[in-house]
Amino acid sequence: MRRLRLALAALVVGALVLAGCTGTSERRLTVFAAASLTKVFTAFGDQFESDHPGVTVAFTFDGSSGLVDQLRGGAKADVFASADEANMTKAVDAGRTAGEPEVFARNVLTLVVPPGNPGEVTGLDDSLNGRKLVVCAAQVPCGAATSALAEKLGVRLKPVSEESKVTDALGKVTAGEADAGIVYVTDAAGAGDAVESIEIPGADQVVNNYPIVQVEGAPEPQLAADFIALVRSEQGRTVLTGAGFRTP
Amino acid sequence: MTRTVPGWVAALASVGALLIGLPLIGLLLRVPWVRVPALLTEPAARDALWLSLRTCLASTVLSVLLGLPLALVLARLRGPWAALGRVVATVPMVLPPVVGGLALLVTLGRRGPVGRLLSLGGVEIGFTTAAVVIAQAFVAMPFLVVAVEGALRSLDADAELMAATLGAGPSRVLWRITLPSLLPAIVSGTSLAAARSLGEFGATVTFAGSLQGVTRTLPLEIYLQREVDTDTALALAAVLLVLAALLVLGTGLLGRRRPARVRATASAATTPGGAG
Amino acid sequence: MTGLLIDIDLPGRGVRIELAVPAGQTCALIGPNGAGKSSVLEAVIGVLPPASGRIELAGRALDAPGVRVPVHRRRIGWLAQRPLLFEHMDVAANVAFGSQGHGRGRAAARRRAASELERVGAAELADRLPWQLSGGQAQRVAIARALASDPGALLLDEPLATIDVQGAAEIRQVLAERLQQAGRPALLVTHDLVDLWRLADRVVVLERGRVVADGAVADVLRRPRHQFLASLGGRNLLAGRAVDAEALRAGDLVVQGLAAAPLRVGTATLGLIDPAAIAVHLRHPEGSPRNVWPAVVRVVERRGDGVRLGCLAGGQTLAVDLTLAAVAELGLVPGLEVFLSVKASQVQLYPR
Repeated sequence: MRRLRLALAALVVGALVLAGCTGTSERRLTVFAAASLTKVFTAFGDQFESDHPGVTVAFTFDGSSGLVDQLRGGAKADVFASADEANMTKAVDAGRTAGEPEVFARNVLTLVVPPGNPGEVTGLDDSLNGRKLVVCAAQVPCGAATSALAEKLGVRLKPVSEESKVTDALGKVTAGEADAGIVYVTDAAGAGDAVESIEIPGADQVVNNYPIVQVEGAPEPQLAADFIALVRSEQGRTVLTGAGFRTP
Repeated sequence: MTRTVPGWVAALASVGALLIGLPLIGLLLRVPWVRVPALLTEPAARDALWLSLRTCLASTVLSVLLGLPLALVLARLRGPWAALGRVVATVPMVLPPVVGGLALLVTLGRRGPVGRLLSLGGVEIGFTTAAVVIAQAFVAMPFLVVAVEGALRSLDADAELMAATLGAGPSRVLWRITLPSLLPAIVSGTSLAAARSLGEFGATVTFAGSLQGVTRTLPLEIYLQREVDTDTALALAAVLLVLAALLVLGTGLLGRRRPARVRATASAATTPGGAG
Repeated sequence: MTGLLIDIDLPGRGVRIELAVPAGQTCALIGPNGAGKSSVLEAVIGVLPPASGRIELAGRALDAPGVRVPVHRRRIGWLAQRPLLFEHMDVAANVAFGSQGHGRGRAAARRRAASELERVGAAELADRLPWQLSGGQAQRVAIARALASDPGALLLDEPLATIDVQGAAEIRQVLAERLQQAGRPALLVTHDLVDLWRLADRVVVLERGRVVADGAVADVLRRPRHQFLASLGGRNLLAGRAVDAEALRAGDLVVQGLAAAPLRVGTATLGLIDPAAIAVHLRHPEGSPRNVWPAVVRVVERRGDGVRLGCLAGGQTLAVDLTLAAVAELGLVPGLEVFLSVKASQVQLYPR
């Protein structure tokens, strides 16, 4: 019985320690970034850590709106990078930003098909008839951009699914479940050989802007400013273009 | 019967209750109740609710229809096959739903071994309501199987043998003796499965897609609305919460209709002489 | 034949038995725990297939080479220690379940159930649910149910073991009547001597999977040839060799007694002594008893209204029944050295 009690106590203490043991004496920069930035921002983090010895960069990658929810809920962060301006506006309105958000990257849409293009899709045209097209739902940035682009190009899309995440849309294409999908150029680049891209003529007409900002009440304002500067530096642009982003 | 518990157990219990209860209370406090009726008349919300109810019913029926026989067979299996079967039947419970969705996608999807065959026959499951039902049944059925199988193991096998000696064949024993004895477990297993179906998100979004009125169930709609308007998402979440609560409450009442067993049956073994 | 024929080999259980129970006979199957009684019942019920041999009921093979009739088609009725009523059905439905099993219609089954309940004196219980019954009432219902299914043979597995003494007496009466009326073969497993007297016509003793004694109840009990039978009747059985026309030596004990016919010296002989016929003395008794043995008290235990001693005399264990008052007066405790005496007229001697 005594042993059982000890074991229980040890279990509770252990769980708490494991859950909370990330606290160290090092300085720590917390970055909230849109999920589509995962690859490039991780690279920025490595760079930043080697430039600033003794500093750890902790990322939270999630949908932009989810990140805004967290900021509204009072989550502690130093930098917020959004995948669109609408969500950045929400953060600004909520008073969680310090200073003016700045656009550091732009993204455009592209058509992707599974390798070998089994559905023989040629573009946003009749070749999509009877084919399974997946897009993002209008409620999320890539979906909003998709509807805007379709309207500008004067085409009517009949998707079989409107996903709430780019990764879900992309996943359906890489799995071969869908014949085509509309995603960002960067997502297509990130998928590598798993998809083939078909450029959409006129895609430039709808450009998605990625703004970045320092969070109000950031625990590390100086590091935050340094990080934003890194993202916007010449070196930063090179990394971003390498991942398919365009830069302002 | 009232049982007293040590103070420290009560203390831990209240922490546990807070852990579960506080977020629910927090959610209910944040729900814009005034807007709920208006939000529910939105076509997107109405479609999602209706689709959720339909698919949940279908997947629950499917779970019972297939899960019950599975539990019966598993409970009677012995040896390594039984252990293997039990693991396979319960793995979806611990699997992250997204992984379950992926598993379904690579199996039943167009490129999957089963999906390819179906494709040849002109059947494609992806992006259809059927895919939603399959995804829900995949994650929900194990709850029923586990509940029923557990009850089966503690069932008095001698009662079934007695029924057989009275001239009842295997089917008659099943319908008249085994299933009625299992009723409480079937009811609770079904309600768990239904609740799980209703809340299913990950497997659906990965396997079935998301299209209004076809595959976008209430949880998917909530997730999507959260991108635009947290209030709407919360209102829909409240609806989901109420539905789930009703489900659990209803089955609880159903289970309580049976009289309490206060029977002091002799504990002696009964299969023809436990000893002798 | 018209009865139940059992001629089976159950090597997994170490049982090899051949037994024919004619229609109308109730045959008691007794023996120490582990003797194989349950294995025989399981084989007859149909849950333990014999490795070889056959089981026949009224000329129909239930188990034979190439034949294996499933439990529900064997028409073997089973009455277990626990009533095993179906908890979700009322009493009438429980009994009707038995009579419906063989293609009788629902209404006919209900009528049959009512008449069976009537016959076991449980008609007024028809609407109750099993959990509302006492143990004895439930067992009555179980009897009615077993008989309502018209079994070709009946297996009774200690059906009264878990019922209180008063209730058991009443149900034993019911069983006795119903078994007599039914005219079918019945196999009864019991540890209770009263069951033997009241219910069985014949006793078969099983030891280590083999039949070691078989005979009419009265014969077998009057002159038991096995320790198990003697102990069932609570009596001492001494086994040895005749040393005289009316004396037996068992171990170091010489026992004088009565023999129906003079014993031949040197033949295997049994001596039967009622524990109540043995007297205990602290000093060597004077006078008539021809059997006086020094002994040591080993065990003192309450039994019913009196006390049973376990004594060791001349290498033999003897049970002695005394009143509580006598034990107190003599100050009997384990380890005490005493003398046991018994009149020769109280000792039955017979050849093995």
